[in-house]
Amino acid sequence: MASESNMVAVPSQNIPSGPPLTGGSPDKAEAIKDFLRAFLRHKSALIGSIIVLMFLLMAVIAPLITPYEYTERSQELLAPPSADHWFGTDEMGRDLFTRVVYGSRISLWVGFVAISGSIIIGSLLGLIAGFYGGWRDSLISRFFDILLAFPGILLAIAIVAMLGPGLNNALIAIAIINIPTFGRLMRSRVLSVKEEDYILAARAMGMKNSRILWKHILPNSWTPIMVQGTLGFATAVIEAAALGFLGLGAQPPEPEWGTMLSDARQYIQLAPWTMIFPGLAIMLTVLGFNLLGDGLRDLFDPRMKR
Amino acid sequence: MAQPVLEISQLKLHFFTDKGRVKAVDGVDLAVHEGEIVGLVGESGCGKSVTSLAVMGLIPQPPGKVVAGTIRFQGKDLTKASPREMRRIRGNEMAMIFQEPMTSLNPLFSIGNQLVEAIRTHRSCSKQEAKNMALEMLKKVGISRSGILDEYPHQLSGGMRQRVMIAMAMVLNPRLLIADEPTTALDVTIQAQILDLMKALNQEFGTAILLITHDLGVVAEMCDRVVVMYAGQVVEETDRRRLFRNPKHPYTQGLLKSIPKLEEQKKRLYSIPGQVPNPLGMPKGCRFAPRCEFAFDVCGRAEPQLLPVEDGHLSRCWLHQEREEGRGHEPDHAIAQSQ
Repeated sequence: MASESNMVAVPSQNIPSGPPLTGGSPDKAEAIKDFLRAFLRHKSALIGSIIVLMFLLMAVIAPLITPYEYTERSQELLAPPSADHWFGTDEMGRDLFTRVVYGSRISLWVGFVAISGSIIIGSLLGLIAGFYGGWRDSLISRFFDILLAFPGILLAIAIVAMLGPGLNNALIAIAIINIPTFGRLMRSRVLSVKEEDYILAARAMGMKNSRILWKHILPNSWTPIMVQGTLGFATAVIEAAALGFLGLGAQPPEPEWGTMLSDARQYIQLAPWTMIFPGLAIMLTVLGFNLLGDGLRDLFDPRMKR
Repeated sequence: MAQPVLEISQLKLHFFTDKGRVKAVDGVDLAVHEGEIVGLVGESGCGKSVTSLAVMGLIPQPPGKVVAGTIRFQGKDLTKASPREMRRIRGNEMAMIFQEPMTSLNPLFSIGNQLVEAIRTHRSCSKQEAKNMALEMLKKVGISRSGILDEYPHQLSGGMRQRVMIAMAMVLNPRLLIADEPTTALDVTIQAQILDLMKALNQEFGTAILLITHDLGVVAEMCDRVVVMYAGQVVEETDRRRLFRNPKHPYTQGLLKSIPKLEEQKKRLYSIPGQVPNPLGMPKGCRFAPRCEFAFDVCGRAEPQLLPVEDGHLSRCWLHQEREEGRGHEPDHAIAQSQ
């Protein structure tokens, strides 16, 4: 909605005061360019994003780069890496490279959906708790405390045990256990943002609470949520793998990395590649998201501006 | 004069804290008439900002609470208005600008976006109409480049931002503008520009202004009438001329004495001895008595009333009230009242 054509240009020579200012509306493009430049200069952000993009690309074009179906069996069981099977085969003769590549689809999907769910529910609760305070705050904060009182993975196991094993239920469990992380972060941000002068000014303008929340408080509070979301993505990937490993997440023959690890653990001495490659995939994904998250945190921190 | 736009009478606003009751505003009377600029003067913590926020209905309750008194705005008692009515009045018929222009605008949205938002909160008009209104108002506050609507707060200087804030406050043509130390955070040269601007808008639109300040120089420049507050109470009220020529209350006299003067070559600048009383433990009797060089026995025992010294000049001091009732005679009713 910037710079509409029917806005009449007013001659600017009769400005009575004010120092010369930096540019007009092209400033937004400039800001994006600045951010990109800083991003490219930030090593860990750059490496992290390359890893993340690599897995993302793998997930998207999986059928194009894999020579087999992920359930397709060959005659060679537990074959070591070779030209035919880059990562070797598992105990059923399935191509491990194919399964690891397809596994990235599951892991990224679980991470994305679970963390989106945590962010939406957590932020909403945090927003209400921080903005309205009082009994709403007490209620919501105690709810967070209760969730945080359990070790995350134990709570996830309990939830999956209640709902029944399966990828979708694992996803729900991961979303639930990550709610307080985002909720408390949002609450603390809102507590500080709502004391800002522009919030008082908005009130003095007669704006409604709901409008102030959506227009002024939320946009000024969500940067740390984005950073935490990137880091949370890594946690979610680990948690999904852990649930898979315990047999509570994705069920065979789904090529989930954690499930693959679990199936492979009896062959660890006989055919170590069956564990190494899925394990490596988990580690790299987590590393990628952590590096990216750390980088974003630095880049969004105004004190790091050069 | 006609009915005042704003009439505060015997307003008591207390904060109920864990340590006890803080009487931030304790029986304040104040009136602002059509087209008038009234100065509300006092040092930090005297209750002047709380008074103005109370008028806007922006005191968080709890811990704050209007214990007694009325705030009449165009005849309507705001202490009894519903939140919905208050929202309709705020920003529409009554607007406010703040001390810190640097942080009073949302950093994430363009100036145009925020002005349009302000207009459309109260008027049902299209975005384009609102934009035109915004541009016109910005021109009146001295920003006439058309690109301003797409600029962001961080691109503007403090003076420019305060102009934008004034434009935002004045765009719906309110009857009353409350300005809470609008120039305190600005350079002296910019201060003068902003004050001139406010005066010009006051004359063009006839908007009454309640100007809160601790700067007597600003008062001398701007105000028709002046109300001096001390420790939550009004201690003196008069017109600007008499305030500077013939201040009655010892506190006002002290304030005026502590302004540095060019022609005098004093070694040390005068300052009122002592400190503002702790709001949790106000002194008995006159609240200024512990710091007052004229204090005598009555002052420590009974609280003086805000009474006229002459026509249109009120003072809350035993010095003047004694004179009316005969020197040396203690006014019994006041003692009775304070007990």
